[in-house]
Amino acid sequence: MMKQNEQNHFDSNISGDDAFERFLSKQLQENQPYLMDDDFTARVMGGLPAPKKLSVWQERLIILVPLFIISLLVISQFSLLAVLIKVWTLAVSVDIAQLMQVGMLVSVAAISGASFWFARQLKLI
Amino acid sequence: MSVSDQELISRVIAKKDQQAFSQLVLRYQSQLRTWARRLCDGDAHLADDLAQETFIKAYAALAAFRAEAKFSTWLYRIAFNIAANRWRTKKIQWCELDGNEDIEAEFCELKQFDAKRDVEAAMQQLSAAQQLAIRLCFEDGFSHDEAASIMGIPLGTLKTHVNRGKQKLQVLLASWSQVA
Repeated sequence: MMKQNEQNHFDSNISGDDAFERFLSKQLQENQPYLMDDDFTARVMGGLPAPKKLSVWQERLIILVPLFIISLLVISQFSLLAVLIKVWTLAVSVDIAQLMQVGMLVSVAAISGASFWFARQLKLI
Repeated sequence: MSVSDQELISRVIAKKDQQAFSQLVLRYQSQLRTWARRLCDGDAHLADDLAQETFIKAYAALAAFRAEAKFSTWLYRIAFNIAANRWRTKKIQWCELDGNEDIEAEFCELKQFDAKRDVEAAMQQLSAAQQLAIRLCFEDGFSHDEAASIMGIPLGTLKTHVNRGKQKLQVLLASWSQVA
């Protein structure tokens, strides 16, 4: 039945050039099979050059070089002598009692932090 | 919604995004492998090698792709060039029609009232260039300009191939109008 229809379609139109082109396109396009991928894409992807990766040293340089340059820029904005004088003045003016208090606070903070970490490791908290 | 070819191409060029390229390969693999089979005289193994090489070359040269042309036209053109180079060095039989027993056997079945088979059999009677031109224009839907660009021939030559091929087909398929 389908063949008959196709035939009738062709019979009724074969005289015209456009109609013949339409007939030809239709038959050829219907003939074109869809080819399943069957790992073809994977084979192509396997054949592509591997994407270039940076070495560990290149990665470190990318971070360290800008950091170094920015640090230099920041330091260049301060007078080294003025900074040294401030540090010296602070060191001289600090009271021994105050210094011990600070030391104790730091020790308490360190011990608390370590205890908390151990407790988390042992799943007590 | 599927991502456009141009978007995928931009990703490949900008970020060397191989995932984006794999989507392009998946999208065009069937079309290109079918085209490659035509260029390799139906040899599926050679055709797949040709199609694979085409995609790899396309990946390497993607930055040179100009968006004025369709991506498929560009791929077809690359495949055609590779096939032509191989043909020059005699690595493959490029669209040879002589002595192909399968085609002859298929042609013996021309008398069957099946339009598709008849058209295919009639196509085998055309020259290689005429077949390629006709298939590009009528099967793959490329314009004459695009088909000429793919085959690397002047537009006038392409039109000559198409017209002569069409005339031959009209004669070969004329019997269709007499069978009722």
